[in-house]
Amino acid sequence: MAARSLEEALDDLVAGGVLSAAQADAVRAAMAAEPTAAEPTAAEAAAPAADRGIHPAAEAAAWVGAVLAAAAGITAAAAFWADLTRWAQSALLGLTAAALLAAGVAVRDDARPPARRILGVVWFLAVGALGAAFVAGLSEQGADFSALPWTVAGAAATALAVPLWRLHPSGPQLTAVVASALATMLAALGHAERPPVELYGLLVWAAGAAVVVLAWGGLARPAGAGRLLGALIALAGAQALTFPYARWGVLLGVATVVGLLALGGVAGHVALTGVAAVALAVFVPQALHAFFPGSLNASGTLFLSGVALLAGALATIRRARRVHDVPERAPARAPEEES
Amino acid sequence: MSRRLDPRAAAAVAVVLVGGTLAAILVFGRLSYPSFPSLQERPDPSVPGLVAYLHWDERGDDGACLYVVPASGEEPPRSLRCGQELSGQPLWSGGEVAVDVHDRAGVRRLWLDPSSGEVVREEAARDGMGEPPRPLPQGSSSSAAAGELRTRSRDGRVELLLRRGGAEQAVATASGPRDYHWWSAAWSPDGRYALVTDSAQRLLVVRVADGLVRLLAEDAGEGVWGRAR
Repeated sequence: MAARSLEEALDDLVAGGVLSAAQADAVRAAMAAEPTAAEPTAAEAAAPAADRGIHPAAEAAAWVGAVLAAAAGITAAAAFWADLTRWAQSALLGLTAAALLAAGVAVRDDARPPARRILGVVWFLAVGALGAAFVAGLSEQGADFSALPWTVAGAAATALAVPLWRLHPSGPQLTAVVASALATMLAALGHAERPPVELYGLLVWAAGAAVVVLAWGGLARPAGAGRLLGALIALAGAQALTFPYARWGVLLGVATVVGLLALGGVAGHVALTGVAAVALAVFVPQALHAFFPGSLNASGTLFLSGVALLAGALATIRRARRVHDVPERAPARAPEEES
Repeated sequence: MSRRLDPRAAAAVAVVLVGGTLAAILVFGRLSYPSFPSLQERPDPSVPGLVAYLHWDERGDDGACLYVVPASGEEPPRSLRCGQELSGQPLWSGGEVAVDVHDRAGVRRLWLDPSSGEVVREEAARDGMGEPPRPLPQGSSSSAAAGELRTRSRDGRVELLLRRGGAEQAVATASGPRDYHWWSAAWSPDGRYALVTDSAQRLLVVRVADGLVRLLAEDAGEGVWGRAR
């Protein structure tokens, strides 16, 4: 049976008339949090506690070893990489993608959290390797940047990333889907006779905002990772827009921060509030510089950045405290709301 | 309390966000460079002299090519010499055009007959050769008296400015995308026209009296105006 999130189960129960909306809210409050990336799946929850008892230090050592081995492999390959034909390069990268896919398949049925993390990372790398294989195979050696290989590579990576994400809806898989789809769109714009490079930041922002909305609607899973990923992409897009269009980029950044703060407040997403708090400290000085140039000296700007960061941090703490306080009161209030 | 958006509404909003932004970028973001009437299509014999420029082949097969074109537009640009070793900016003197050559032998300056492309003479390396040349005295003394030309570009609005007698006025203006610029400006030999290079790698001839801008050549580097022999 496929794993279902608490949100999905509650929505179905409310839709079926089993629970009222107030009761569903009470259950959410009692569960103390929204679904996050760290929320265990049904398979993880079903795993015996002993299977999950892998010491974090052992897992960390394993990851460090894997990274070192990968770095050594990349260094060795770099020595002869330029001597290979582009088809050989493409084939090598394609084989790497296949090996990573196979490695993921090998641990797919293992419900222990470390195995789930390994699965997420190797499938993420498989998507990247497949995209790189297409870029290497389609790019002319020594040629300047061409949009076609990147568009095809992005589309191929997206075509692989989506089913992998459906099989294993984790943060790395969602990141692979979003990154490859965004790369495809940006590369596609590069086919224009005069690519609107200065507006790429706007598209990045829109993609990030769309991911936030999809996560809010439960479509970009895991929702916690989706919200964070989308928020970061949207903020990065606004920041990118400030380079060609300083004022518009800053306005978009500030509006995004306000939107994230509002969403964090309305929907109870503490992590969004935290990201927005940090972004506030990034965009407020830029807004002052863009709209009131010369009105503040360096120390004044630093002071305002600090105050903005402090205000954001306090808002985050307040939000977190409210979310954690609710379960204690909710069961007692729920019957009153019903009557 | 965690509230979830209706999935269908979320999908619709996401599609509108990305699709709408993509459409807006494609519609409004693809501002084209300003177009100007072409001297090649409608030559103007009153525009004097020849213009020389280097153009670098972006694929790097031929390196740079030295072109010469009548400023009147009565003939298409002619390639006088191509090669990886060509560099710098052409020069005019006495009706001959010069280009610097960097090769294993060092730096030399070749003087060419603009009509045949034959090498008339060759100079050995000396200080300053191979570097962008200082502005030559453009045109006649009347042009010097006519004032100083300069270009100004900001947010896609470009201007050719003429400073004369302490006052500066705009001779010609144009608008394009934000990355559109006018680079250099040089007087014609008779002091009635200005040669402008734009960021679209085009050479433009501006009639100073009324600001009429016309296209002389595309795929061009910075142009240098000279007298025909």
